[in-house]
Amino acid sequence: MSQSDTLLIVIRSAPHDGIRLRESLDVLLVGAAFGRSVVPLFMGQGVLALLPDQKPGAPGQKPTLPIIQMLEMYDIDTLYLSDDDAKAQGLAPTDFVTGARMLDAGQIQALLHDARHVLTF
Amino acid sequence: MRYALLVMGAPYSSQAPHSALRFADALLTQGHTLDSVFFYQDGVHNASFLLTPPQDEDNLYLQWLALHDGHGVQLDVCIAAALRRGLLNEAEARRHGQRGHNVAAPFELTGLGQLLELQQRCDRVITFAA
Repeated sequence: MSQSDTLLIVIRSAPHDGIRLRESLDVLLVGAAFGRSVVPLFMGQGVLALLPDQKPGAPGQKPTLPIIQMLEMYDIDTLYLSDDDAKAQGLAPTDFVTGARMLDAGQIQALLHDARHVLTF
Repeated sequence: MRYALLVMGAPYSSQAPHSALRFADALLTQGHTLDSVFFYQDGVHNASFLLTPPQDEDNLYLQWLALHDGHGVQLDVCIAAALRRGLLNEAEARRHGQRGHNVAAPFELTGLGQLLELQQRCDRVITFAA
């Protein structure tokens, strides 16, 4: 986690909250495609992006779950999320997709501190 | 220091462009360098040369132009975010068979790679969210 060139991308938008989540994930994908070490951190309503049972449907927006599920192909294996924010949404560690890893406030602080670059969406 | 700004709010409906312009003025006044303003998400609407605010309101488009003309600041616009919101330059309008365009130099349609490149090149990238 302490690689000097790590790009930490903080994602705070829920699925179907406009296109914000998708355009945040695009930055993640482009970073990975450019060979950068990119690390996503889901906070606030962004933790909802990591729920496994989302179905596309009524909102008419392109779903984001398929992007989350293919991050592994881009060598983005660990999807960090805020423990506190998951709890605030009434969600447990077992509610999330494979690769999701809960961090407490202290661990998030360390992640932000160690990242060379941070982009917040 | 070398700065870049990331603007993600649309003109007039968001405070982000106003704040970004004020911040740009402040950092240039203090002798810092501003390499680029990168427009992403709803921020891409800042790039339309058709913006026509009432005369008693700030003309944000002209303020972005002044930043470019006066200080050589690049005005970079994410092409994917721009196209899906109807922001096209002449070349893209032709490519996609559209009947008009609303983006022109000094605004440049570019990829997200440019944002990552700016982040590596500059000392600070400051985000102005919607």
